[in-house]
Amino acid sequence: MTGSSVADPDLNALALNRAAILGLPTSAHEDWRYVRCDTLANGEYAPQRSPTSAELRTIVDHTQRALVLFDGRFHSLGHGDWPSEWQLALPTAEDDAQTAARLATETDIAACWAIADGTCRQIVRIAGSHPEPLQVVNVVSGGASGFSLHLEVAPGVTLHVIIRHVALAAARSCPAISITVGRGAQVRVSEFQSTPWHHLLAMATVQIEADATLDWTSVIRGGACVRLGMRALIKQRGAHVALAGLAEVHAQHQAHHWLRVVHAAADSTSDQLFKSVLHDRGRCSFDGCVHILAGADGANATQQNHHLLLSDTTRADTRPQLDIKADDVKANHGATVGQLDADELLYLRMRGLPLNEARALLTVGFSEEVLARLAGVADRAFLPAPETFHPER
Amino acid sequence: MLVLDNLKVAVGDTNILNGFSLTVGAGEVHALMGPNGSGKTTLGRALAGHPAYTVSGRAEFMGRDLLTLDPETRANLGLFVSWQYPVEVPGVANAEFLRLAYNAKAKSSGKPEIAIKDFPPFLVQKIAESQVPPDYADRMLNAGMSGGQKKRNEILQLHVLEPTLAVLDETDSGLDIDALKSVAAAINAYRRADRSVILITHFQRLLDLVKPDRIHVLGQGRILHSGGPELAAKLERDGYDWIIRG
Ligand SMILES: Nc1ncnc2c1ncn2[C@@H]1O[C@H](COP(=O)(O)OP(=O)(O)O)[C@@H](O)[C@H]1O
Ligand SMILES: [Mg+2]
Repeated sequence: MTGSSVADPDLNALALNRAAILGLPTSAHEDWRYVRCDTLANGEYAPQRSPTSAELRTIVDHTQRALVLFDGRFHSLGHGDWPSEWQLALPTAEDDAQTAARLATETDIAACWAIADGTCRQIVRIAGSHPEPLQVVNVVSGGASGFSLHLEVAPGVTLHVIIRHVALAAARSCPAISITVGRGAQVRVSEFQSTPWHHLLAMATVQIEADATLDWTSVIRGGACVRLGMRALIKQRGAHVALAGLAEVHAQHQAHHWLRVVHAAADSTSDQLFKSVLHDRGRCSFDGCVHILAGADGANATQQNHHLLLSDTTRADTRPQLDIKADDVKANHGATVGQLDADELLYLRMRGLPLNEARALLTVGFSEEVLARLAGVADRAFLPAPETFHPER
Repeated sequence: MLVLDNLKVAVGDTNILNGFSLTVGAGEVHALMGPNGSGKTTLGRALAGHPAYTVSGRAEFMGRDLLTLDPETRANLGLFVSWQYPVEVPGVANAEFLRLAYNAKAKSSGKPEIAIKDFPPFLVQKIAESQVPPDYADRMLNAGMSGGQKKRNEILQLHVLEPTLAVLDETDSGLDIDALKSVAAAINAYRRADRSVILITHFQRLLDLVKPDRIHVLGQGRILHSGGPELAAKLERDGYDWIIRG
């Protein structure tokens, strides 16, 4: 079985039309208020080209099975046999009708661009557990591209998804990844921004059914504009969603997290932990809202957002919000924007660590709470090399 | 090794130490006692280079003028000042911190650094020497530790870093009876003819286990009274009043 690419001209046109109605985001737009949007208008992207085989080898080595999307087009399944538990499928006419209906009221520009600029709309049905992680590699060479990928995880299945975003040159990429987590299934997602990005605007959608768990951790480094959006719907009772993110941003780059979590069922839990480390003139924001709908009694929601400012020309914004319409709910949120702790710094220096080493160690310590959630992900080999992200040094 | 002469330590306009003088020779153990708030912790912090204090007078360590040096240089010169309340450093692994601190000192003194792969067995040996529980190799740096555990964690640091002068600030507080014996044994194991200790404590029981050469009582910003090891028992019996009141 192979995957293939389809472009539905009707959906592309609908999405383009909807994007035109929404217009380019500006910071006057509620959902983009913390983003420096001017950069989105001047899309000076590199021309698209084919990847060299050497490039592909550095992205997916010969041992790996991976769903590789190149400039938003389905490119390959990597190497070796594709596990029979992971069944590739294309959207049905009914799926298309649903997508069209959703587009008519879509409010997020990235979700529109994902289809307007996209040629690939891929479905993977995860019918059983497999010991290896499912890798999704989003590679772009230039231009503006998008894709939609839907993972339908069957009840009781355990799945680990690793998503990597790789830009070979200045580009705009709008990936729309959606996951339905079936009853009692356990899905873990580890997402990495592997190279500096021009414009990476992602909108993920997840639905979690009864007693299922979704655990999604992303590590991003920012770019001219990097924004990860997430809409999570907890549909049935006993489900649990844990979302975590770390943004470490240098130079004049920006990275933003935007999340909406809806508890629509009782006895569900959600947990958000987002941290950012800002250097130079970096800019980050967290805009997260948890809606606990009427009837979602006994829900438990936590939101933590912490920004670490390592220079005095950075900017961090935080907006954790709770909207509670149910009874017997436990909810708490905390947010901090601060510098390294002076006592901790002094303690390390009094034990001989030079100031720069002490700062670096404490910065790693700050990030560790999020990074710990990536335990077992190929020894964190996917973590981007920090030197890639120091363009001003 | 350490010469303090007419040391003055102030926070803002408040003088905490005022004419503090003390000489510590190689291999000596000095106990520093005195009522709460008399400035014992302040002395250690000032020596270690805490930026909150304005320090004047003379402080010479290993022939160098301490007061012009930043905290890491003092540490790498061989000065170790424990904290009365060690700060918790969440997210930083004890072992990683100890390796970096060991290597920072090695680098500054021109000695070979220890490789990542060689550190775990070295740490196991140091854990044995300092008599702390083996799981300290896997703990976070003070984070999630009880008061007593943090104090013991600093004794582990003492053995890893092997300073020339250790200022131990109420290391005996918060320790259970067995832990106190272990800590005392670890301090004695650290002692050598070329290493010195300043023990800040309120209690004779530590001084019974780690025999001091001299005991000093701090009051009014300076040393008011000094004596031999026998002073511990008298202080335990009579308190500080007879010294402070003169
Ligand atoms: N950073 C500081 N700021 C203000 N006051 C301080 C500071 N450090 C110490 N002090 C004051 O100096 C005095 C001595 O404190 P300390 O050295 O902790 O005493 P000891 O350790 O002998 O109990 C106290 O009155 C204390 O309040
Ligand atoms: Mg004290």
